[in-house]
Amino acid sequence: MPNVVGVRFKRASRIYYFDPGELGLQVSDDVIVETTRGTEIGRVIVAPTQVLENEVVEPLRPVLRKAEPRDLQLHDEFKAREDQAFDKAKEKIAQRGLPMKLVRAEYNFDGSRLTFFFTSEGRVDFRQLVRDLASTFHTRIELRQIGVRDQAKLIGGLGCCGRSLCCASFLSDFAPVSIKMAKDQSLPLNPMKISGVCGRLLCCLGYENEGYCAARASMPAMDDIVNTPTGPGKVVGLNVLKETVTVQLESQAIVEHPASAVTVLDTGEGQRQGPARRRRQ
Amino acid sequence: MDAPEVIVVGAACVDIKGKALGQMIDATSNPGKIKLSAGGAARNIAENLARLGVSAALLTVVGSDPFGHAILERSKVSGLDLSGVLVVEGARSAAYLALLDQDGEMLLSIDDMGIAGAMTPEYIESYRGLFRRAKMVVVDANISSRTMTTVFALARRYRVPVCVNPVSVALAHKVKPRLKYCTIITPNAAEAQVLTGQAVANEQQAARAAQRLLAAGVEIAIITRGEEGLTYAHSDGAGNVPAVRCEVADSTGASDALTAAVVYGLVNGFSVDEAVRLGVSAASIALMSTDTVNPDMSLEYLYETLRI
Repeated sequence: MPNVVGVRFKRASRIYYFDPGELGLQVSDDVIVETTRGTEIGRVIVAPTQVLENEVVEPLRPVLRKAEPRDLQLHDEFKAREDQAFDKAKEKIAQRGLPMKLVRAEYNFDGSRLTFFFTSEGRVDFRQLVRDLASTFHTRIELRQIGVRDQAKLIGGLGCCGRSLCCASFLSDFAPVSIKMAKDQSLPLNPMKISGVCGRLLCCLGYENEGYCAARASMPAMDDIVNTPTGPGKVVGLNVLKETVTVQLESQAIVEHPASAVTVLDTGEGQRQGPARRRRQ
Repeated sequence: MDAPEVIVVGAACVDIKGKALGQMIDATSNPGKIKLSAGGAARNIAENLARLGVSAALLTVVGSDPFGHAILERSKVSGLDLSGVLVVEGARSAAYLALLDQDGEMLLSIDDMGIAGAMTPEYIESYRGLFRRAKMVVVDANISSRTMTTVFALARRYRVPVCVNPVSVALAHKVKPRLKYCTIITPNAAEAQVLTGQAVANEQQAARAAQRLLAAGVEIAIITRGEEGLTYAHSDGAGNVPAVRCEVADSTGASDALTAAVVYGLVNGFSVDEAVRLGVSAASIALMSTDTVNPDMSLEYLYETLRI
């Protein structure tokens, strides 16, 4: 069984697995690893562990060595130069009048590569810009177009809840979020209320969705005709957290019952599709 | 039992659009692509609404000809109630013929909406029950003045807000004397010019025109200005929303998508400012499709395109 170690390169980023060899690594060790993009510095998050052959995503690249004080010092030095590189690159973009917004400049640990992250509404021809930047910084230049969610993750900030953005603090991946989740949780659909600082739907819409869906599955749906301890009526409201159903009785009275106390006589869906819907003037 | 949230009254037609492949030359045949799709302002708005998850009932008229069948067939979208569509035996269905330049901008168009006369005040009256339970009525100016008066009267009786799409400069005259009955109006710059009697060539003029529409009794005035976005005004505020940058495949149907998204927002209780932003993003979705109504239109797509 192969031995792997989990390494993270940035805060709240995905964990990548490497072959630790005979290095005797522990959690929180800084390591130099070989990646598809060159050598990088990362931190051990998952201690060396044995996994099944079929769980390994090939090819498993090696951890080259533990990071030495010299590596960390280099890393800090180049980190300190990132702001300057950012300003310089911003100037170059303005000079060329390119429709792109620079989000961040990032050196790898030994300064052999400088990556610029940017957002743009369309495709940008940045070939000339890359040449400009390479001659300015004398290192390998990479330009990466990112989406609005990645931008928020890179920059960080505070959400409408007042806490640090989930994506910038602990989410390692962006899970798909849909409007249906907001609907299933009876949330208002106002874009301003259910969108995050990135302008996309709030990631937290997905956190409790499973619970809501499970609770709803055992409850009648809106417009269902149900039998209640106080007589038959139509479902006009649901409280998923309390697991109660609000029913309008035939007498027009509104009553609330636990979902477990009502039985469905006819589904709202059946009624909506039925002939009764048409032309009841 | 669910009543449709929105009633849409007006035209449904077949759109025949010819887009030139190169520079259009007058008085000769130009190579291009010809596409047939279902159109008509009211039908487009209703289809967009249904695609956004708003239950809508369409009150329109078609003939019993192949065009009429095509219109009905292509309008079958979940959530869109077509049971009120009037089918007139032996009549010619409405059609719209447009010539687009190589960028998808309309050069000129002809519409044949004669059948709209079959939508009489009596026909509208027979659907009085729908008005009683609706949250909003949307009407396009293709219907006759008398029928429009009936729609306004029923909406007033049941206190349902009315959103009016003037459709074209020629038809905007019909709306002008009835502005005080329009809760929401969505003219383009040229139509706003007819409605207000003043030039609407830039942002300042559009803002003034919007205020003038408010003074005439409209509650929410939204003036669309093509690639410059839109200018709006209501009793609590006013503003401009820039257009979303996108590749334009075909500009037909953009204002209908905009109207539908605004209606979706207002029916769901959003603020006017949020509703008009949704409108702009819906317009961009429509622009990116060669179909009059983008078949990919959905709430997910709409929110994704939205620039907050």
